[in-house]
Amino acid sequence: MIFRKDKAADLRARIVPLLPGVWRFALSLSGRPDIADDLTQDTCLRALERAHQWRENQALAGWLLIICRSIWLNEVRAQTVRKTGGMTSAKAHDLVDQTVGPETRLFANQVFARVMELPEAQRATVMLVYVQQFTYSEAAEILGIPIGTVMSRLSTARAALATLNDTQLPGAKAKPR
Amino acid sequence: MTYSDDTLRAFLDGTLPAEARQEVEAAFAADRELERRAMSLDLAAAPVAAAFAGMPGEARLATLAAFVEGSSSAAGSRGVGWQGVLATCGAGLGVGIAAGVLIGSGAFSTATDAERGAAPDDPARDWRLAVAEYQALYVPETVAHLHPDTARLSEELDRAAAKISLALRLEPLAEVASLTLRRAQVLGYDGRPLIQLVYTDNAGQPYALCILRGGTAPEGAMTLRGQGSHLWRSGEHQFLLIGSAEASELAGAADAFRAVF
Repeated sequence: MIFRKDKAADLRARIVPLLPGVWRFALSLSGRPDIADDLTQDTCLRALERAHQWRENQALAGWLLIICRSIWLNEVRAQTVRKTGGMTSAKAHDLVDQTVGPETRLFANQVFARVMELPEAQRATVMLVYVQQFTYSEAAEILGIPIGTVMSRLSTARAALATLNDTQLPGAKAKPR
Repeated sequence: MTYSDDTLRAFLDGTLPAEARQEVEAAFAADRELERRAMSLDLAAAPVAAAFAGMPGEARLATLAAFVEGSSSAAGSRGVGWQGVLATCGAGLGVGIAAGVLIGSGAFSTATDAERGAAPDDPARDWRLAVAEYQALYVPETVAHLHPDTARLSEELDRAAAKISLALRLEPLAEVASLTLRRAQVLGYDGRPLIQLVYTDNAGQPYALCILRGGTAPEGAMTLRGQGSHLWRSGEHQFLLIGSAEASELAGAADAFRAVF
């Protein structure tokens, strides 16, 4: 019992620095900040319940996101769709850093909006690889899909983002295969 | 085998023949550096990362961190909480019985404080969690039969007020921002009185304004166990408005309650 208590306390301390990543992933799944709040809380509680399953040498960030996705798919997603009649994307001005210069802010708002318009699967993949800096292989493991599917989703998302502004989004001209 | 940047770009663009593509994917598994190099060639990544930088924002992050630090693996679980309550209450779940569970076992948990990893008087524990678990059990039917007269409500408010040394008068509290007061009762949290003012909106949906003397939960709006909530402090008391509406929809009502206290 003492071991379990210490492990939970240790895990709690390790989870806190990872909260931004969990929340952003939850946002990418749900498309809504309020649902992301709840999903993040549920993820942390579930992780603490399962502290005994987590191994010290296991990447905690990935483990948390696998839990997050599982809760989303099995417990929250259908309920959210039923409650709202569909997803409504988060508003950029509520979330994007508004302290930067106006041009940067405008572009960031546009990129944010375009990412949030992507289908859920592409959005989650973009979040993991582009924002959270997971490798393609790690993203594939978190999402439970082959690496080829990760690449395909990124390619399609990149094409959608490329229509935003070719001059400001260099390299985003790839066409989906 | 080494791969040129052009090959990796073709891989990213999806223009590499299938066989070559599979070779690159297999090479990633053995060579993390190669994978990182391919990622660095994807120029769409940086603008997207920049757009999401700083999220979820300091205030939201502080609340989430407080939630994790104040949570416990046993008490915070929706599953454990519901199962525990339902097992205790059986089919005839009622407000009074549920309140008894809250007072008796402490925040719906069958775990001891030691098991939760927190001392009973640990100020880091977040009392909002206990309230959210409790409030999540409320449905319109829970409160539909509550039509107390003013004398009854005044009596309940007086009894509650005496417990937390705070004036609770019927006149400003009976109707607040189109919420109607239905009941005032004394609950308990960690040995301290926790006052619950039960409200309903025009559609009969239940809400609660809970008041705790002391308390160190962070102020602000938050979604808790699927419900909107607003927490603020006034003097030595903390106030938590919670209900099934989204937190943004509760903001007006929270302001109206703030004006009362």
